[in-house]
Amino acid sequence: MVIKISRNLLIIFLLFVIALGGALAFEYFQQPMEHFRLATTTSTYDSGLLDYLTPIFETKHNVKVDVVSVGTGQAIEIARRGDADMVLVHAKELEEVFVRDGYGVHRVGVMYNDFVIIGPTSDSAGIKGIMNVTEAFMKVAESGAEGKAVFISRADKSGTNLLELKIWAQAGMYPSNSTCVWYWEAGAGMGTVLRMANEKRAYTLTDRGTWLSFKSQLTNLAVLVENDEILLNPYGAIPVNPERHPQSNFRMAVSFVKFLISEEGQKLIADFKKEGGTLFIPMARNFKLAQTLGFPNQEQEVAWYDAQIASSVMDLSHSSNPVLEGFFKAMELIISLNPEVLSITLLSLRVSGTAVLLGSIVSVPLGAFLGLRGFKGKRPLLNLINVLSRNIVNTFMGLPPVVVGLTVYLLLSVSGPLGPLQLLYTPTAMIIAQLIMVIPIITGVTMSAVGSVDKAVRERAFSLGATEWQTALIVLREARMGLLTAIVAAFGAAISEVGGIMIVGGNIRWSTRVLTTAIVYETELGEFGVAIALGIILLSLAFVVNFALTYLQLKGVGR
Amino acid sequence: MPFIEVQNLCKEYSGKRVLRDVNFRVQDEEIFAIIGPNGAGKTTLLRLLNLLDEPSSGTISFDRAVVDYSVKSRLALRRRMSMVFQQTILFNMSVFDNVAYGLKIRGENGRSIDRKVKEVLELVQLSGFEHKNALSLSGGEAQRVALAQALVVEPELLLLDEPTANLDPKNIFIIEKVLSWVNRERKTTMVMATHNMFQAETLAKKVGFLLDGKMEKIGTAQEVFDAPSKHLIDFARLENVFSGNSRILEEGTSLIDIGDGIQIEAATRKSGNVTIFVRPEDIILSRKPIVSSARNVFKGKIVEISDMGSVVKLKIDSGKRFIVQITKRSFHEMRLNIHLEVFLAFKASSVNII
Repeated sequence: MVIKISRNLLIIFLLFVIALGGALAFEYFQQPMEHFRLATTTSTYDSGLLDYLTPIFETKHNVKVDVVSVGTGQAIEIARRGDADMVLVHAKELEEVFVRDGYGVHRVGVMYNDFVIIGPTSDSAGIKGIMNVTEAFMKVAESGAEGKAVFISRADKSGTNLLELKIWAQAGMYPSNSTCVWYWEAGAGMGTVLRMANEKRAYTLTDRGTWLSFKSQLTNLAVLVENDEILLNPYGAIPVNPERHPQSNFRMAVSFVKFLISEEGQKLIADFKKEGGTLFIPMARNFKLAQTLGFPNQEQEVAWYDAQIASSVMDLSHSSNPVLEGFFKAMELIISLNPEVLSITLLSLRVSGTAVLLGSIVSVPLGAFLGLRGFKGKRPLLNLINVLSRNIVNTFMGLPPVVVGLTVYLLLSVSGPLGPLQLLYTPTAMIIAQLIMVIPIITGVTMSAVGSVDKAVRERAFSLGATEWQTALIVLREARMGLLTAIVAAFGAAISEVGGIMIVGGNIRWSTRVLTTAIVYETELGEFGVAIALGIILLSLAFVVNFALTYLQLKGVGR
Repeated sequence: MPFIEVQNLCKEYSGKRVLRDVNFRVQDEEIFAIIGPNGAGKTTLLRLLNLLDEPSSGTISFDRAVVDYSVKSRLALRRRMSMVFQQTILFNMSVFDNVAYGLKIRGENGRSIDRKVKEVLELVQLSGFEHKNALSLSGGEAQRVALAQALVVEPELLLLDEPTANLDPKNIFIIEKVLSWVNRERKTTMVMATHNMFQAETLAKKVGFLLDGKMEKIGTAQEVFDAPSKHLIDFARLENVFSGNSRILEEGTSLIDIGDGIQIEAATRKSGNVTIFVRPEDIILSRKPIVSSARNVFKGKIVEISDMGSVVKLKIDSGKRFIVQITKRSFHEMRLNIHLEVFLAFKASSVNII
């Protein structure tokens, strides 16, 4: 029998190896098409512009364009590491640093779009119609201080976020979560922030494209301020310097920029429309406008591109190691007990701990009840109910956190049945989501722990004169290690979960940001040091909890 | 409660009849032993007496009151008896807590629990084991804890399901001693399942032989064993069983004529018609005539050889057929083979009269 099983396993293993080999070989022979990687911001990608432009380029040059669409900060970080061949972003200062540090060459302006301030239709701050953006921001801050307005910042170092901070700076203000109750740092993408603003009837700064795409769902919001010059948002294209990253496809990057700024490319951009509105206005060959928007060498660069007949420059050089740097940064943050890292960690513990505590109160008796029911079962109908309820519990044990998050979000959002409670984007909402996740886990593990206590133990108790209750208690006592496992497993699942709390908590700085959401956020920013530090803390917590469990188990044998 | 009456008791498990029409009575202060092979229904019968299961038909009465199976009366009756299971089951806690469990659930106060647990652990010779975890004990110790657990509640009726199966002689000795003390001093009534005939004989006043769910025979140990039925011999897997007329010799031993010109000398004194048996492993085999102290020496021919793994069983015809068991090594060293002529010998004290 043993031999038979292992032979079957061997066959499965061989089939697996063959399949894997086949897939790899297929991949290898499919390879000849040239690849070229473009790192860009979510706004260009989400708008559909790249899906519209790249196929035309791809057929012309027989190349496959891989688009990595992330926040501006991360897009530049990816290119800095040499994981992309060029960037197409909108963050003047970051772009300039990128070029000055020698990571990018031949920066050129391609197009621009514009930003608008949106806010509640009721406009509690009264900024509608103001032409000067700085003035509008100051009025929002004033109303905020009086408790009449909320401003939501993306706080993700995206181009939009950087522009917002620049406007605050012009107004002479540096608001943050810790100093102003009316200023929320969401740490999220534009779409999420727009939805949050709609829920909370808050103000925010958004690019027009994203606003147009989501407008129909955002019934509480309207455009209040637009057309100030500072709101014009120019996009720059920068190929990665081949001297820094010799493996990069410089030739193709130059070809792509050439295509974007060519007469043909510029016309294609102008013709790209959405919801009836033009999203991007070409400017590569409007040298004067380009100059005022931060591209002083536009004319020379365009001339350079026009003169290029794709050629590659090869040189070898060294790059720094972001993983090692991140590790040192992580150590520093942990040793210095950074207050933000500390507060994030404590919130994680609080949210997951509360969820598991409440979950245990509900689920241990429930699991025990279901587990004990398994001992009986003479009547077929009862058996069927038993089997069904067990199956339901087991199915829900694998409940995807994002599905839970979505459900809780829909329940708690303004238009949802529990909207009036105003719980969305609070730790309470996160506890609710995690509670729903841990209940099936604790119930299921308790159920099987109680079910696996020898039937003879139960009979022994009965035989010694125990009542039904006393018997149930001794069975629970015998299953105590299983109960402990249930609780620890639930805690592990809760504290390492990210999808659910991201949706219902919103990852708001100093308020609902926990370890996992912070890791996602910092990774998107390219802040690997902080991300690694948080990862180390998360792992350490898991280690401490597991260690405690193992210790208790070892001790449990003695008593 | 003692004075148990079982009437027409039947039990079926998923269509299989485990007990068929069982009837017996157990008097107050009596030890009733149920012997029978594995699967005879002994455990089922004890579980029915402990009210863990309900009979398919028939009745059990304690003190002439027929058991009704309401939760309340079941609990009340169960609190007047206790049971030791064949498979030792202890809770994952200290020996003290295990033994004290029955008292705790009866709501006894702490001081009396301490005293009673101490006494009963002394009785089963486990003083000083209080704080050990019960699951860390050896099989014999664990079974003694289980016995203490059952005795501490001072049951009027003690049910024992093969309490000494798979234990070593020392533990068997302790348990048997405790059981006879408890019966003598506390007047506890006991119903005990066993497949050890000798245990039944030494402990019990009354013996019931259960086979295939039926009470084949009930009586005193003498009555049941003196004329063993074919079933009883089969069950006990006795070999070399012979019957014949016995007379007492001058030396004080008995000589039994089992026919076919064979006379066997036994150390026990008993005359009249008797049944005897000799264990196959007590018989010595040799290829040459044996000069020894053994009182019984016969010459025979090997008629059958069966390989049992590490040992070999031989059937030897010397007028009567004897089964002899030797190790495989001896078998090879003696270069035995079928039809070979051999001598067998056994001592008078190896002859058991039943």
